[in-house]
Amino acid sequence: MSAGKDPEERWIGASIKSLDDINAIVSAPILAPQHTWRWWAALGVSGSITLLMIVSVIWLFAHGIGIFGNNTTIVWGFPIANYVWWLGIGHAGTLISALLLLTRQKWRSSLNRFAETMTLFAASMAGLFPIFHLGRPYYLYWIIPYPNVQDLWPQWRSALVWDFWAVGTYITFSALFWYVGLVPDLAMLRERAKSRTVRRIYGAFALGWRGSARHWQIQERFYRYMAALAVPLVVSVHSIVSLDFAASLEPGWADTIYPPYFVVGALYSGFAMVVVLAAALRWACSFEPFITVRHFDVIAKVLLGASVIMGVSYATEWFWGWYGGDRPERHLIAFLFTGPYAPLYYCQLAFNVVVPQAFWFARVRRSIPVVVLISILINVGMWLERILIVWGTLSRDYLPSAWRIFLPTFWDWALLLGSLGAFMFLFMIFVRILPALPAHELRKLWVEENNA
Amino acid sequence: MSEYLLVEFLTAHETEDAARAAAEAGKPALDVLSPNPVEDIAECLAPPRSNAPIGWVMFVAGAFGAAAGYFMQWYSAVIDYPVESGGRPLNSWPAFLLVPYETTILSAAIVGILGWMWMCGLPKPFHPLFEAGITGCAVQDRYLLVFPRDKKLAAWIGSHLKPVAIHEIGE
Repeated sequence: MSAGKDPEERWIGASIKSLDDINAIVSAPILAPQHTWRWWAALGVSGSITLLMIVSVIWLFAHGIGIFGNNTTIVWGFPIANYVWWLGIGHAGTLISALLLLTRQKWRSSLNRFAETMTLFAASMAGLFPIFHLGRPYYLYWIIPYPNVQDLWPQWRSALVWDFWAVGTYITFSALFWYVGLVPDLAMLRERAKSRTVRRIYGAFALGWRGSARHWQIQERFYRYMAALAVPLVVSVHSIVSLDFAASLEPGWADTIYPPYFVVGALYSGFAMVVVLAAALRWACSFEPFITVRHFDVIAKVLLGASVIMGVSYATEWFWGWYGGDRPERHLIAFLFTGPYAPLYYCQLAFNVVVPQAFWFARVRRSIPVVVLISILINVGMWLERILIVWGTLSRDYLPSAWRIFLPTFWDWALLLGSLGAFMFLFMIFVRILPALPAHELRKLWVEENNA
Repeated sequence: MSEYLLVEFLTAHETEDAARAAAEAGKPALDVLSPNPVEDIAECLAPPRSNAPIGWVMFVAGAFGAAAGYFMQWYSAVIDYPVESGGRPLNSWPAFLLVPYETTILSAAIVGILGWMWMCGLPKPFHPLFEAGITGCAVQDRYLLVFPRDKKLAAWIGSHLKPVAIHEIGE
């Protein structure tokens, strides 16, 4: 190994001495797991919470959405806020994967696989909530254009129909993008697995990948083109979600700032979730050589940038509410600051704008527990933002006779908690059957850093 | 032809130098199997690899997806089920642009992955090169140059390219 890069410039720890070290560490949670009782415990806990979700859904389908706190004016409650929040979390996976690939950011290689997996699971959770919120979920297929005897079509001018296309495309695309990156790693698992059955399963999904020059040449170009498609896709998805609100004529919703504001918020909460997952994986799977303090440092910088943009967006909303001079708009902003939701609103501002300013200090960015703590607060803050977007406007509509307050029920909380449990349950299964880090990209990065 | 020499190296640099030396000596390798892409090695191989037109395939698929997405809405809203509502034009093109935006990306990706598999010759679980156990190491940490099997060539490779090992596949 001739002279490589300065240790301070590296993204892979010095404890990695050969390509096979990378393969061994990445495949260990699958082929040679340690601390399996921890994994079983986590699976058991998340599995029980998933059961809570299943019970909630059965109860919901049996009794209808009246089991939620929704009332005659606040018709969108938890499910819509959860939908927007989960979908936003999903966005960071695609952005890490695609945008950082196109901008040639080398730190992406340690994060992209599990971040993309997070995207798949988070977007799946998100996709469920609008279905739960349908009064008659069994008519979901009416939103799909299909030949029918009634000769009916979806209403193409509706933001809700656009949502269906955006989210459907997003989940399908993310799964394809994820799989294309996974194939060389599946080939590695095919060769490393001891049992014949396991070899055959990985072998079938690896499609016979053998790392030939032709394979790599086409793979690299195709992956880059997919990334170039992923960036405009991800921007469009949360923009379209924001149109569910912005295309209405409600105070606080009909704002031109909504699409970019939603996209940045999505990136923000998603990066915060990536921090939490990265810290958990680093601890549980001994990924310290690949997920280093420097990675937390750079993500904290991204979070800091996003928190400033969020602050500016909130201020822009206040300014236009006041400057526009519309009474309902002004009233809504006063209501958020002084009404019954005010404590939640102050928490939102503190968690999303004030607390992350701590990231200006390098010592904070380089302390993993602190970065994780702030990231959890950001996720809570972003959820509060989503729920207050729904509650605020609907609680203070144009007519005082429509003014109501939302009171969450047990089932509101059960379904939110349940979706978190289901997300964690899926993620626990993922880390045991698929490589959580992209071994082939780490090998490439290691070769570059060590000039091997 | 299913008789090959697999010439083993430990690093990407050595592999690239060896592939270049072989090409300059008029004995270019047929292929290289590697755990990660080796830059610029395609030009040292025979036959030379042209760039696969995967981008064009995706572009055409995307254009078709856009046209199909718009056509579906136009046909539905103007021809099959026209609804006059508040004087809005039947062909409300600004509102109709969002679905084609998504169908463009969706069709480019789906056709792209099929194109990727077709151009890579995948799925192909049983390739003659897998007869050598060392091929399995090429997806982990070994670099293998693939040459046609030939005694003279093997001797030349052994003395000029300094490989770690030469593996033979075939009878």
